[in-house]
Amino acid sequence: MTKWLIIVGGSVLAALLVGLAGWFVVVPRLQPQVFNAQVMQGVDAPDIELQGSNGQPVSLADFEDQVVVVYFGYTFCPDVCPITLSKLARARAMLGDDADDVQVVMVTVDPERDTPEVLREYAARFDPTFLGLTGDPADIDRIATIYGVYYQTVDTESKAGYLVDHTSTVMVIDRSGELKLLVSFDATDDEIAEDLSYLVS
Amino acid sequence: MKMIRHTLVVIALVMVAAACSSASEGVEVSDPWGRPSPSSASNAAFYMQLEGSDTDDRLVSAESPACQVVELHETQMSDGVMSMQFLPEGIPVPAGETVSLEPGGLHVMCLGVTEALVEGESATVQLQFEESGLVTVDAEIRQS
Repeated sequence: MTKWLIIVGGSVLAALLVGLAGWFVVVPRLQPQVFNAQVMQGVDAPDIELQGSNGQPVSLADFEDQVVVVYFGYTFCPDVCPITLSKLARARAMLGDDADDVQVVMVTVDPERDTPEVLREYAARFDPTFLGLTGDPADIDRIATIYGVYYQTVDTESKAGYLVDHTSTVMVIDRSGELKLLVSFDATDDEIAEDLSYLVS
Repeated sequence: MKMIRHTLVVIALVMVAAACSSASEGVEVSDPWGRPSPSSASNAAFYMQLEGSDTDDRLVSAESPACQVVELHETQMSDGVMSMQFLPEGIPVPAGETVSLEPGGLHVMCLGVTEALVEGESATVQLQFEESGLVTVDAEIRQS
């Protein structure tokens, strides 16, 4: 009888301990991290291989184990692109030392005007680590399409000659190379910094 | 009789004064600013608040010694796609209303920055209004 009690009691206690341990280990992992941005699940970021504003060919694979922030824009754009890039620069600055783990790239949707030199000067206005990417219009077209980015050259009476309508969403690729977040144009510096700090930590 | 004449003169003077003062009260421009930009073929934008007077007015054009060409543009966002519209008709400033030129919306676009826009400095922008005439402002150069 006593033996039974010990066996049953012991088993219950063991089960409780395992359950408790499990609760402490698993539950925190199950708790969803609330990102400010829209979260994508399980999408491998398609590769981007283009000409960098640093004068080198650039591939996403170069940023292994880094968080990569991808923005499609163009240097002729005086309003929305600077807003977005300066927000990204401020958000990155908020990360302190972790900022080294975040690489921001702007893929031009205007390869005709945006040469690597033009992009280098433009990107450096916001953050010296920002990289501009340009290349063959057909390659840019293909990359934009697989990233779900729309862009369209629009003729205008403006002296600008032509302008480019384009998707204003910012994409964030996590350390494992998954396309993780879609950040909308309305996101604030703080919201972006919060999301990035979670991804780098 | 003399008294009446004097009164009439005074009334007339008051009316003239009133007319003059209302005529000089055009659109008020406040907080003009723009982002830093190097001098190159790059573009920039200026933002500001336009406070309407008691008559409808319109910002028809702008110029700046810091830009090759200055135009009036509006950014529009639709389903996450940004597009910029050139506004050849200018920007209406209705009587008594304040029109905001701000990031992501209406802006004075500076095409081809000829003099670097340096943070902490300012750039002269001349605004041509239909009714209020030429208004010159100094846009502060800052990040946001």
